[in-house]
Formats: sequence, structure tokens, C-alpha cells
Amino acid sequence: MPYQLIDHTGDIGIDVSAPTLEALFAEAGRALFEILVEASPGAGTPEEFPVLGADPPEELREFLAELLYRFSAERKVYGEFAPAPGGIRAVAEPFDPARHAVRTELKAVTWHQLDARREKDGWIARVIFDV
Amino acid sequence: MSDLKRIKPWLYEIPKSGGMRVPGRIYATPALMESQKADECIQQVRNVAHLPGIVDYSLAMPDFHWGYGFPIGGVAAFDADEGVVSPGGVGYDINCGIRIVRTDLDRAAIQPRLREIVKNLFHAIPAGVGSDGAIPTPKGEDARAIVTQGARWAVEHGYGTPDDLLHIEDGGLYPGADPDVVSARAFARGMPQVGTLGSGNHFLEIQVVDAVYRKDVADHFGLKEGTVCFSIHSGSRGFGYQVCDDFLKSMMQASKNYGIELPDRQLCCAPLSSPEAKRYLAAMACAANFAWVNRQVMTALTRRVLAQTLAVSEESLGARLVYDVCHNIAKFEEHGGRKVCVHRKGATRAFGPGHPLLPEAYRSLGQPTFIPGDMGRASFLLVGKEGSMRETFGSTCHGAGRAHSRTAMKRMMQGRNLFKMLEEERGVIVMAHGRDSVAEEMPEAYKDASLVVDVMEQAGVTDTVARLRPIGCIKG
Repeated sequence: MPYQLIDHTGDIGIDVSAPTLEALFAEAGRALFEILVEASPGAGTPEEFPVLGADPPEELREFLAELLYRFSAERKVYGEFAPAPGGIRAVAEPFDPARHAVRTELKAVTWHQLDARREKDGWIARVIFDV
Repeated sequence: MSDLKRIKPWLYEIPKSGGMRVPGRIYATPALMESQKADECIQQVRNVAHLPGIVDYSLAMPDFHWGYGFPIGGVAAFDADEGVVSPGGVGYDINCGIRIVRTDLDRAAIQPRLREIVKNLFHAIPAGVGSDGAIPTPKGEDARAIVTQGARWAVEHGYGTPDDLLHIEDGGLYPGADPDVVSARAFARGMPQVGTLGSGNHFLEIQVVDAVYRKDVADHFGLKEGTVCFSIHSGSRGFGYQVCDDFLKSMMQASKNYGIELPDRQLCCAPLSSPEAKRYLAAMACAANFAWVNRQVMTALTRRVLAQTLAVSEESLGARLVYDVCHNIAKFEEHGGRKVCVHRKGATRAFGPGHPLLPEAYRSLGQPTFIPGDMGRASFLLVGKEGSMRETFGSTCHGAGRAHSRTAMKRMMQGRNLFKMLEEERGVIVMAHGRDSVAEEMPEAYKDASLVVDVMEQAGVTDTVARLRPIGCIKG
């Protein structure tokens, strides 16, 4: 499995692995929305997310925080994450409580134990979300 | 855990080591210490002890558990001149807090209509992921007034009574709020959510007093055995989450600029005298005020639902706010003759009797504090004692504290009818939007709150006044 939930006591964390940095971001984005809602992937509008930050952990956190903001404030659900030139592409659908059964609200993407680094076989990351 | 020393039956000390500026102290019995995987939390207590200007100890209350940055249950005071403020020591849900409202109703009066009351509350108070629309979204001047005036804005707009304001920590207003330092994103994310409960461990609960331990104090609060109360646990919703997120980034830079070494990036901070700290505190104040408006609006909606469902007037309910306390906040206070900025992260203020900041009606008693247990077991009303001023910078626990992770609970509860279990085995009618949130918050997830409040009583920090049992609950 490309991502696993961490047994954090009060919050929720993920350990993610992927062959490339871009694939790592895509996988983490998918994990975020699997935790939030039962998203039905499919018809939607593609949107692109530039990758911004001082280092890979910060870039990953910024990307996930941006997704969470758009979900909370713009009420969009994202799926079909894929690497795109200079960033990540994802398909956005309007949040519809009838179709996107709710799971867990995430307040934020924390910096606690935040990690994203290259290993022998690819990239790994750890992210903890505030519930 | 090897360097932990048990120095009193209810207190462990972590000696100074490495970059720690002060020792750590955890209020717990061996049973509470063993009730969870404590190592991560102990490390977090150590990490907080690294921050500049920390006074005396890095503390954890007995409901401590692994958080992010600070442990949940963490208390730390920083010298006003030499110390720092850390958004991670307040948390994303700024002024997450709880209030308890007593009523003139007894259990017999509401039991026949309880299911209907829970259902009507569930429809009146939006909860769950992305919930909004409890009241028309405040815009422009109203949005700015909410974050600068706090609970008073709600009362002036028909949500509650002036008497409510007398029974909120600091009167429901954090001074010094400046909306101009808050991002447009925080307003966009938060304003549609005024008057909504949210998800996670937030709830609205109907309870009955089932034991009174300090009759003198309980009488003062209008509580006796059989009294129906309701409590609301929620915070600053997306507004506060965004404020914290925005400021963590600027604090990360500030930590570098001021040469502060961090054992965890989540602990980024700035000297209290710096412009970065002043901006954060002005934004944090906005979020604290938002949270008070949020709880105040939900209180008014709950009174309305109770009155309508029982076909009585709101006045006849006698639904008086006992007290409203903050769980996640940083405040300037005086302790031991010294001005400090006390960070409480999943902890509650609990000033002892006679403190000038207490409302007049409670000054001789000590500050009331309400400790929610879990959905199935008891909650407790406490009052602060003199010991809190000596021991914990006027602080106590804030809940039962988690013992099992959310993922473990989902595994444990798989395939079980949780709503039926709660009703048949625990006598609580629960309505919730997400099955997962109920599984994650089942009573088994938590330590026994009575063990937690006992520690604070043994330490002379708080006294237990009354115990309450839940009978109805709505959740996200």
C-alpha cells in the first residue's frame, strides 16, 4: 500500500512512499481526501497546484494545506492526482454531502514530525494532521 | 521513560537534559502513565522545555497525550520580557473550549421528549465536515465586529443574554484583536461557520447531575442531583485553523531570525517583545473572539430548540450559563509576582478563590471548570483551589484524555452498531453525521475522567463539585 495510517493518539498521520517526489505528492493528496470524504472520482475540472517551499517537507505540507483550504473554503473535493509540469494536477468536484459521504474533519496539516526525503528505492514522507 | 522520577504519588518529573532549560513535570498516577503509549508525549514535554524564557517547568496535566508540538494537556509559562509565544503551544483550534449551561429542568421533564430534542438540536446546529449556515454568513463590518468584540457581538445580535457575558472567561473578549493582521483566507474559511459545532471531539451534550460532592458550591451554581444541563465543546472553526496555519509560517522565519533552535518545527516561536509575536497575538485574539461568538450562538440556538420542543418559554427553562472556559490559548497573567505568558494547549485555567480576574459571583469559590468525560461515562464540574496558583500556573486538565488512537478505535468498533450500543448500554441518545467520528470517540477511546480529576484533586489544584451523566449527544 503506498500510504499507511499512523497510530497517532489524538490526531491522524500518514506514512507515504512513492518512486518519485511528484508521485509522493500525488499519493499524499489522495490520502488526504480518503481521510476526509468518500470521494467519487470522475467528472470534474482539472486544476494545477504549483509546488512551493524551501525543501521537500515544506513543499509537501504547503501542497496539502492548499488542498485542505480549498476543500474547507471553496468546498471542492479532489481526486485523480497526477504529476504535472512544475507541480501536481488534480480533478476538482464541488463538495456534495449526498455523494461525498463524510469521514473525518481535518483542521490542519501540522509540521510535527513532518518529513519527506529520498531513500534508496524512492521517496518517503510522514505527515500528521490535526483532527 | 527511563529518566522519569516519581516525586509524589501524583507527580512525575523529567530532569533537565540536553537543551532543556527547565525540568518537565507530568501530573499522573502510574495507572494513567501506563494507560497509553506515553513516550511521544514525554518527549513533547521535554521539547517544550527547550523554548527560551520558559519559567519553572514544562508541565503536562493528567489528561496528557501525544499532540503536535506541545503535548495535549501541556502548560508552559514564558517570562513576559525574556520569553516567547508559540502558535503551536496554542494549537490550530484557537480558544477551543467548553461551556456548561444549567437549567431548571429535571430528567423527568425532558425524558419523554429526549429523542425529539436530540433530533431537533441535530437539525438546528450544523455539525460535521464543512458544516456551515447556522446563521447568515457575517460579512464586512459584522465580520470584523465578531472578531474584535467577541461574545458581546452575539448577545447584541440576539444570541444570548448580558448575564451570559458575566460567566465567560474574561467576559468572552480577548483584548487587542486586530482584524487587519488576519488573512482574507481566515475570514473566507471561518465566517460561514459561525454557530457550527465542527467535527472530531466537538459535541453538544445534554447531561443530568448525578452526584454532588460540594453542596455549598453546587448550590451557588444552581446544580443539584437531577438537574439537566447542556454543554458545548467547540472552537474557532476554520477561522482559527487558518490563523494558526498562516502564522506558523511567519514564526518559522522569526525563529531563524532570532536564532531560536527548535527541537520540533511545530514549536516555532518569536520573542514576546517582537513585532512577529505582537502580530500573532493580535490575530490569535481575533480567533479567540470568534470562538466565543461561535459557542454563544450555539447556546442561543440550543435554548431555542429546548423551549420549542418542550413548548415552554425560553425564560422558563432557567438556562443559565455556569461558565465558559478556553482550552487552547496563550494569556498574559501574573504568577509568583512575575508577568508571564501562559500557554495552555488542551488545558484549562482554574484560578483559586479570591483571584481578581474571576467574576464577582464566583470570586470566593474559585474558578469553575467543566471536564467532559466521554460520550458514555461521567463529566465533572470542578473549582480551582489555591494549589493551582502554586503548582500549575492556575491550570488544570481539560478532559479525560485519549488512551487509544483514532485508527485503533475504528478497527476495534468495526461492524458494531455504535448508536445502539451507546443507547442500550450507556443510556445516551447520539446523533452524528459520520460513523467514523462516533467510532473514534467511543468511550473506550478515553481514559476514565474520574481518574484524571482525582489527580488534580490530590495535587490540591481543583476540587470536584459535581458529576454529570450524558443522556443525549450530537456530534459531527
